[in-house]
Amino acid sequence: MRVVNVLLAAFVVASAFVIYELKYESRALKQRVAELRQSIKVERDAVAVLRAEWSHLNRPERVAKLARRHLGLKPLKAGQILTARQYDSIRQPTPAEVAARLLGKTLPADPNHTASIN
Amino acid sequence: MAGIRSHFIFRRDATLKVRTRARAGLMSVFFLLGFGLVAARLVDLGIAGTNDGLSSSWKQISSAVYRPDIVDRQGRMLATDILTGSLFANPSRINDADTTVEQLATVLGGIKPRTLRKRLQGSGKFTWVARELTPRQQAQIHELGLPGVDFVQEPHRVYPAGPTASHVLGFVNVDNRGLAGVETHIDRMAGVSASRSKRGQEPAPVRLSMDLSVQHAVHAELASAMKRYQAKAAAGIVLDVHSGEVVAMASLPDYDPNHRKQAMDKNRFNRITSGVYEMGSVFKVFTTAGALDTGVTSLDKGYDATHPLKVASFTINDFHAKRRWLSVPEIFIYSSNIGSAKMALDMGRKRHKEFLGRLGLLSRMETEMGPTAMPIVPRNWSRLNTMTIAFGHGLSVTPFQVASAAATLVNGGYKVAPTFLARSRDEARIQSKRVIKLQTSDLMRYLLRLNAQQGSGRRANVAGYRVGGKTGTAEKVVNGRYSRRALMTSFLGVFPMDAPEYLVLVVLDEPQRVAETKGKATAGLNAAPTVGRIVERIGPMLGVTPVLDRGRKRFDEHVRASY
Repeated sequence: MRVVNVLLAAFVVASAFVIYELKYESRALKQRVAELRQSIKVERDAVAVLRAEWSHLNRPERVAKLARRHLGLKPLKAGQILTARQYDSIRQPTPAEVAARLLGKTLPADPNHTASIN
Repeated sequence: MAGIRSHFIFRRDATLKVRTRARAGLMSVFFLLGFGLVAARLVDLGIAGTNDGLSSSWKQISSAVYRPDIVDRQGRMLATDILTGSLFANPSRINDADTTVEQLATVLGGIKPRTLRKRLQGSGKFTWVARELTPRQQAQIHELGLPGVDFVQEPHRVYPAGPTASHVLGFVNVDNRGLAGVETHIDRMAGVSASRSKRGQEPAPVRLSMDLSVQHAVHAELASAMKRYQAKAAAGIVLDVHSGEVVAMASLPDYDPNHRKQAMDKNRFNRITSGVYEMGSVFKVFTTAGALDTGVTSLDKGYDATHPLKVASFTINDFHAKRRWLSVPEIFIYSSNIGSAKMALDMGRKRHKEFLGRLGLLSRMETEMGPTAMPIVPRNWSRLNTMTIAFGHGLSVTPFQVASAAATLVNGGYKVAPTFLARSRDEARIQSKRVIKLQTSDLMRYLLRLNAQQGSGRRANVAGYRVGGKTGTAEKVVNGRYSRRALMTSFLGVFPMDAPEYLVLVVLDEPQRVAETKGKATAGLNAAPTVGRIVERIGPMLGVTPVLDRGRKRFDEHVRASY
């Protein structure tokens, strides 16, 4: 009987220790959860600020102004829109012509290609 | 250990009475229960834990709520919440209110020292000092190191697109509650003002029917029209005639919703939904449609417009008088007041009124932003009223109602409730009912297109987009009389007329007789070209395929050069 009691007492002490350990561990984890929650919130708020800034910088009013200043772009006119059928009926520039335009000088004609143009 | 030993003594001493044993047993049961309870509570505390003070305390202080974002129909952000600092004070901890106020005044420009001092000297533990501070102000106040004042972080509404969509979005008060526009709708929606939502728990974004690109184009064109024609104000709305979606709505002068004080200016109100006007000849579309729909007239009938129409002391005359018989299409394209008045008389007072009512022109119209302004309807609808209302005088309505009613005329005859929230055309069709005949709608499409080709709407007829429409030039009432100088011009445009998709209504308040309009200020010279310019810009954005006339140069040479 004494042995049993001693064992029980030892068990009580041991389990108390285990519980103590677990409790502190869980408290640390809980703190971690709270910290993470908080940092998620902080990040979310930061993301909201960045998204707002992104939208602010991309507002059409500003983009239109920048496009006018730096790209020379203007609002689209109806005459600039074609259907696929209409596109077919227009003679397309050859790759050589396109390259020439891009480079700003004429290139020697490519005999292989000019042959295939209608 | 004492308990264990006594237990052995118990066993050896057999002479003890049974009663004592029973009593001891009872005692031990009590002890077991008691310790059991303590143990259980300990375990409970160990597992569940107490509420640590980790959740920050500002949520209790701040009354501001996180609101759902607002996005346009393509998902572009129009409104969101970001955190800003607000300053509060604990009066019980402030020793020297005078110095505190003095110091704060060096950083905060807009505070009233006297009222603030009174608040800081009072009892209590909390009072706001200033809200929505800039990061710089926050840093400066922090530098002052004043006792008894502290910051909280509060959600603060920002509108990244600035004034562009102000009248659609509206704005919020300092507690982030909606005061105007779609923001009020968000407050009425379940779960926004009721709960203090936290970051990450705010409701899903609200998707509007508005398209930011279209809105910008309309806003920009109205601004330039206002300048070009030296108008006091300019307003416009773009409506999807099938879904009833408001694709764009602007009213200038407007405000930046980020600076809500601007919005309080009376002149910056929303003329589309909150202003009522006698719309002038634009109303002839409703007269003609009514006469056609009730069958009292047809396109091959005509009316005598040789002489002005005299009723009591009134004389109804034509602006572009032809002094002859006019067919119904001619009445429409020459905008004959005499002809329209006669057409309305043919319908009769009752049917005329009933028809306008059916289109929703005689009562408030409910929208997500709340009801539109109340139309001014004559109390006793007389014969004369019918005659003047036929050409748009004597009945004041909001441009919003005109747009909504006109959509019915061109969409095949369905009354679609306009909305500021995204909605599909199918969804709208289920909710809407037919109020005029399909045939009437087809005839109206023809008349509107005809007017843009040959009549007063020619300047709205931009290449490719088959615009149709009707002008309206109304004289404003100045000092109780109609004024020849103060005009209210409007143009109701629809495109593409072969299968209408969008409606554009532009209203200009007191455009001047500038050189560009050849010394005139009628709608055909200012409102109509404004609609034309708008259509030209928004047509491609809305995916309307332009069709150019045969024989004309189909394709811009310059484009080919920009491969």
